[in-house]
Amino acid sequence: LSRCVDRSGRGAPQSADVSSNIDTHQAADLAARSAYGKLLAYLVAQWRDVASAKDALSDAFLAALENWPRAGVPEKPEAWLLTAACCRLVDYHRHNKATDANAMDLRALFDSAARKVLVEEVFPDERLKLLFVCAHPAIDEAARTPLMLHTVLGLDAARIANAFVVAPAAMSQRLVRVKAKIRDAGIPSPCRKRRNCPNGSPPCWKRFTQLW
Amino acid sequence: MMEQSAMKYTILIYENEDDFSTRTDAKRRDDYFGAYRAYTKALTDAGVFLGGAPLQPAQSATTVRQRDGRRRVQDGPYAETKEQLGGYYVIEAVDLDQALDWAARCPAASTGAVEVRPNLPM
Repeated sequence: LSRCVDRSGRGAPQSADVSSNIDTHQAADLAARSAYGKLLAYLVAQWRDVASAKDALSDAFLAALENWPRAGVPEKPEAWLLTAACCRLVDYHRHNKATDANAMDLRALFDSAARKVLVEEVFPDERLKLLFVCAHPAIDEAARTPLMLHTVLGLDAARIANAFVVAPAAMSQRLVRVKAKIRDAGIPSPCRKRRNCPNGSPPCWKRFTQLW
Repeated sequence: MMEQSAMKYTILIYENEDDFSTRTDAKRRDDYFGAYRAYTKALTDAGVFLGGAPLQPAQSATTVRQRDGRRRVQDGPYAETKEQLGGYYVIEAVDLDQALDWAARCPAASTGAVEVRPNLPM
């Protein structure tokens, strides 16, 4: 599994014909649309660093576009992408000299991802947890709905900025800040009982569902 | 779900002038220090207390800046604000929610303000 992403064959796709290239792009596109939020939610629930999880997942999609035209679309595209993203996270933290505790967490993440791929049929849906992370009271209220759109739906800062009538650079800045806060402050996924959530659903949730 | 490793958080206690004056008020000081003793005991009993200290009031502060090899010393705290840093705790918590739960129990949370910061892992 550690060799799941073969990045050596950048120049190889020429061997595939044009129609299979289109199929591959369609498969990747479909996986992106249907699974992006689920994959990201799973990575964040386990690793709670939205920014590096997003980067790793982007790299996984890029690797899919390089790899699938040659090797064919895998049977479980979601599992392939998840494993590839985990590989990227391992690389990233090896590069950044992760602390021992981090390395252990990452090991466990990788093992559980491998189990998901090899054993379990149904991929867990952690998107609700991710939405709760986005709605945490320690996150700037103005950033909550944009963050939900950015993570669960995978919209980029420019499109979100458009919907909120702010400058793209300002929205991008806001998202970068909030992702850093989630990583550094240790904002948890809601496995424990959430006591900080006020009665009823928070306003950011309502706006998110409207924008959806 | 795997276990998340514990993090260290610093609880910064910001007190208003009235809180600071309570410390030297013969009638109220026992309640004030009693509340902090009880809070410290609760942290210690839970096994999450890592350190901390109460600080002298802000008028005792001296601020130092070293610029171009010269030392500039100034009387007073770094920033003049209505609430001033009165002390701090360093605690261990699994995540921000747990740290916020402890911070909310700090006596100053009811009168001044309490800031929670994750420590930079070193």
